[in-house]
Amino acid sequence: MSASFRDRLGLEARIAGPAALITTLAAPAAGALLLAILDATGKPPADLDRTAGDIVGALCPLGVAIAASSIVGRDRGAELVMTTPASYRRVLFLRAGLVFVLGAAATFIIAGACYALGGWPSGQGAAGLIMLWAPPMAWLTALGLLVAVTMRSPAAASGLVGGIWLAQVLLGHDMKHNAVLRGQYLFITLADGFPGRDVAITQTALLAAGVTAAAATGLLLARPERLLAGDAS
Amino acid sequence: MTAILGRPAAPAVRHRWQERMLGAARYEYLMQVRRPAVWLVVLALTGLRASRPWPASLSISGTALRPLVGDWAIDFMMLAPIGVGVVLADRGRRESQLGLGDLLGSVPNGPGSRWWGKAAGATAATLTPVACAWAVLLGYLATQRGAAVIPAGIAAFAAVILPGMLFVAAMSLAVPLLIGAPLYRLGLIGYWFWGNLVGPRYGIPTLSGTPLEAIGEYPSGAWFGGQMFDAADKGIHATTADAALSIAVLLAAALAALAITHLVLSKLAERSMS
Repeated sequence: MSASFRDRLGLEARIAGPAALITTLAAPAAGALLLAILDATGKPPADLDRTAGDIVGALCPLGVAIAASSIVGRDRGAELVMTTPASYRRVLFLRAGLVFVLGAAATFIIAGACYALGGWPSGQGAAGLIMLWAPPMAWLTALGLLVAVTMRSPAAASGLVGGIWLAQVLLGHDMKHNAVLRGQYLFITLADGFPGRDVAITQTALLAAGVTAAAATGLLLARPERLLAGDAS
Repeated sequence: MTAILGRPAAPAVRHRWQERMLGAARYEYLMQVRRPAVWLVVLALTGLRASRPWPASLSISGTALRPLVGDWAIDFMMLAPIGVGVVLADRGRRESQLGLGDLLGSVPNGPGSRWWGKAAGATAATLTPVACAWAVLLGYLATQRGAAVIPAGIAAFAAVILPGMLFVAAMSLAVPLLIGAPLYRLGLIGYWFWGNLVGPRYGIPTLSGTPLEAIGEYPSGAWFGGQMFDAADKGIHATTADAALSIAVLLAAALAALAITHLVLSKLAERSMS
């Protein structure tokens, strides 16, 4: 990595803001703390295993999605950047990518620690170190960015992403047992009793939906001036 | 000079505190109620929850009227408070983010009346789509069960929905000043899930099922005969005193959050003037 690219990443991280970076790290940190407390208070191993899966596969993806959508509209220099040859679409994706990579790395570390210490959901092998969290994280983050750019509002993005996340938790039973809805069920990897083929199909569908939402965001950012009248936070 | 020219003197601008607060509240209300995000988020989350009422055995025709309204109010509270909190979280820092702090500090309206005006106006505006959504749901129930639904629904709004919403609104205005909107939004969703929806049966210490929960289970159970889903895990069926205590705790916590923020903002304003 060249020094100039490193400087650029540091600059973009500062513009993304400490709030976004702290938010993306908050879920893994809070999850690790919760697991340590549960372990110290003598909770049964089955509870610890299930909680580890919930933190890695559900909480961490939500934190990254909210953090990534918060970067939209907070750049006071956006109008200035748009007057230069630099592509604002590339700038915004770089910032969102930074937040995503940071959150993904932190999630991978906590997943690896749980796996190494034996506190890992039953039925999840080493593949779960990635596949437990990557599809829902990609889906939620891309959806959050798409809503934030479309509505010019991180508040709308956070509200819809958080609401859909919680609705999928509440309506999980219905989603799991509906052949159509199961394709977009975020927590399929954590669900018991599904054949590997069904899980793989859902994981692929989630990743495909995430890529589609990211592509739609890219198309909207072909006219970045649509962001100029957005909310400030 | 005005006396020499024979003109009447301009009236001194000496508005009382309440008038300044109401002026700020009116402006905050209009700003917030015109945000598309406020309507979109609250109505989308209500629609999402209404698509599949809980519990599955809840039947519009086969459940007594008051328990039915109480259970619908709890259903309503499962997702809608998240929408309210998320869209209020950026209100507190708005002026400072726009660089308007010095300008606002130069006008007669002090930080106290601005803060309480913001709290009242922004909260009322964010609860406008909440009230509209509840009215639509009540209208639907009334077509199925008759006009007796309306008074029960209004009572459920006041006793089950409003205390929790006011608690979430106050926290969403005050806490983001300290930790920023994105982290607060994540924390709110985590708190709502942990403290209101994850019952004691999941093996994690939680506020669910205690009078400290904000979802309204205690008033619903005590006054409407609604299901006590998490409190029942603890062997509790709420009495009138329990429900009143639950509401009092929520309102006191909301008032304390706003009052502490008022004190801090006033101190900061004094320090910046000195």
